[in-house]
Amino acid sequence: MTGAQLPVRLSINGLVVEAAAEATLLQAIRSAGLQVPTLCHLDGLTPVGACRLCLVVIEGHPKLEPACVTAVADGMVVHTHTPELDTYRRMAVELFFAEGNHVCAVCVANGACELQAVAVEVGMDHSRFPYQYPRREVDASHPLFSLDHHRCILCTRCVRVCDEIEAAHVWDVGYRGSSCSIIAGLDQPWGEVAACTNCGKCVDVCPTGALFRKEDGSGEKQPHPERAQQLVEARTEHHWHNQ
Amino acid sequence: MTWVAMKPEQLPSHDPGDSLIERLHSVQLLHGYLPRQELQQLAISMARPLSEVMGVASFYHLFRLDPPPPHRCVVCRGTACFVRGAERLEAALRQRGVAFETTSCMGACGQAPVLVVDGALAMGQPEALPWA
Repeated sequence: MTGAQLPVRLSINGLVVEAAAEATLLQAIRSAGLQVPTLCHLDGLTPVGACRLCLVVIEGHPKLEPACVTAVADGMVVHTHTPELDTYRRMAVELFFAEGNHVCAVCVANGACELQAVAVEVGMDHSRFPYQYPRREVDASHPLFSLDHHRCILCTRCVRVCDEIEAAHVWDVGYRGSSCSIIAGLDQPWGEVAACTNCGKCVDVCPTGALFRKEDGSGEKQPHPERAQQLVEARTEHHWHNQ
Repeated sequence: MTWVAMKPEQLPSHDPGDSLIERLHSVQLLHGYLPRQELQQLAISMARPLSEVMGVASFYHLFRLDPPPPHRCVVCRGTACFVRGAERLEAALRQRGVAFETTSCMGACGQAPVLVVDGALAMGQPEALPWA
């Protein structure tokens, strides 16, 4: 047995936690029954560290690290909630709200929105940053689903679920900076992209109301973020959801 | 011959995706911009998803997704040019409906404000432009 295979011990918020050597910090935090807010992370998909909400303090390390893409190490001393982290998390959520056009009252995901839930979790009731009110598009060209770019936070869950689980790779991230957006095919209307299998997984995993079924009205979206993990388990462990 | 100078169809097919940028350069060299049809061909020949090719092509400012204007005009926004009235030059071009790009210092500060018209350095006298 090599040393790398042995479980590691680390301290999270003063709690001694044992974790598998290949685990991420986020997995160790959650298996210890602790919580950090996340938006881009979804069990079953490759972590990307895009939303910066799971930043944690590692003692002796000069900068904050996103827990979802940081590997555990023996003797690590981690803090998930410090006044500094709470401030940064709130700021990050405020920036999400200021950057897009998030109007809960008319949104399909109202009540089932992860951005909304995270805002409540970090105690954000308004944004101190000026709202950008970007001019964005709504793509309703697909027969079953719509994409409202106003509500997109660029978490790339749709990009990853489509590539890694459905293997259609309809989505990707196009352009840059404030014009950055999710694109379908060659930045075409979604309905024109032949690669799309109409599976709806992107809609299931979208944390906000950016991707939704056309029949859903305000507050009617029922997301299924757990499906990514269920499909991965079915594929790798032959453990099906109905068993 | 470098890959940049090669035509897209001369490149070996199904090579790893890390040559995508070189291939995009060669397409742009050939057409002056990246036509959608060429991007589609590129994606097929490299066995890469369309959205991935488009994601890379749209990320870099140097790749054009639309046909370039008949004349290419680049205005310098370096410090010397700025002090010597690059903003007025831009305003004059805008007023005349000339499509132009901007860049940082081109190293011709002695002649500021400068612009490059179709590859040739020009002094920033808007009335001296060929189509004025």
